[in-house]
Amino acid sequence: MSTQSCDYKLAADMMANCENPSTKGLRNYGYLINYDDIDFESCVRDESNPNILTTLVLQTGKKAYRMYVPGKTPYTGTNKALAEGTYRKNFTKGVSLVILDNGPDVVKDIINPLANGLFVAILENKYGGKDGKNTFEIYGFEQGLSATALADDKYSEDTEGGWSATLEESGAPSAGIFLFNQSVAATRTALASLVSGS
Amino acid sequence: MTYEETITRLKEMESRYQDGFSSLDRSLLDSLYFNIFGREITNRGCSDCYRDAYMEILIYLKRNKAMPKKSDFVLKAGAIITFFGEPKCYSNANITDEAALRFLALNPANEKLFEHLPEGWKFRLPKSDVPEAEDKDAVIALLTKENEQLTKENEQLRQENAALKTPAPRKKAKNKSEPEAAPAPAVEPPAETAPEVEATEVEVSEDADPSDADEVSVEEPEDAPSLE
Repeated sequence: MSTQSCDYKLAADMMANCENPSTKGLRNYGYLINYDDIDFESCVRDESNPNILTTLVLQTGKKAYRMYVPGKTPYTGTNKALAEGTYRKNFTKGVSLVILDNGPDVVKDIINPLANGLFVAILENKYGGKDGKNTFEIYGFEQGLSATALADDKYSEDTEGGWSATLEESGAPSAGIFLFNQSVAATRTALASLVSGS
Repeated sequence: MTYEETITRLKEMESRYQDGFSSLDRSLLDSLYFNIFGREITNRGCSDCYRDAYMEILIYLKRNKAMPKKSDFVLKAGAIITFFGEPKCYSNANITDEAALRFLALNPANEKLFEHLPEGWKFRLPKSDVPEAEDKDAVIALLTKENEQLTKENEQLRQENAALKTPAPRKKAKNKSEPEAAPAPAVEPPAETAPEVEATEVEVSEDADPSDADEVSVEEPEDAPSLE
């Protein structure tokens, strides 16, 4: 196996888009997938841009789970940041969510698995970018998201009797991976298929 | 789920129709609605939307007495089929045998996106619109040959054009032996001669060397030479 040096050079202008200006924030609905449920061998990346996943498929009998955080600023705290690595820099990605529910079923089916499992999250950006390719962003695809915080504050205004969770992926080589298959509508169909399962 | 199982579950949910469906009920309705109608329930936070979906599913099943017919091909969760230039995309909810076979015919690697393929599917593949490798080579050879032929014709025309543009010598008569090389038996008066040079009638010696064509003595005009 030969090794090669990577060509880390700028390849595009950094200009603000006046026709389609960027906007902050995420939409309320997101998707959470168990990391081991993903069929990585069958996933397909865009040939012209490996940061775009055109197809994300699951193992037989597995499905994705929807998550919904109400309010004007859902998933507050979700971010990505540069981190130092041994040979090259990487990215730490965090997803913050709120589970406005509690009880034995919630603990069994959601909280306990979140505490110890590995996950992949797909969130919808309000800013779709050029051609809509920025719409759905994937967190945890490379290293997996694991919980760094899970809290149930009975009097917190932020959780209202539910749970707050922070999931983090560290050491991700890519600054961003996006799910996009020809159009936003087709990508939504693919996400619906993920939730429906096989 | 089979038709009977689905009807049983829906009947069991009927008691919660007015009070509100549980999260498990909603999850089932999401799945059923997508599998039957190929689209999601519009507003997942709306209780009325789930009641509407429940009724739609129940009416569909009572009318059709069966679950919707599924294709023999089953895609993996998350996989969709799209064809370049066509707006429609296929998922497990609306996949057809024709779409699946067409997709598989495009690229053998697409097989990995299917969870289940029926027996003998390879024999059902449609004939590809793209020529096979052997035909591609033949097409390339044919096009190369045509290209060479066209290049030769182009070169020939270029030479003829260059010859026509070459001005005739001013003091020396034009060699009448040139028309003899013309293949046409009936030779019309040459219209392409240089206009500034008047056609002069000269008598050409039979011993004239073609290489000395430009060195022909000009004599008094006689009868028009017969061109053979």
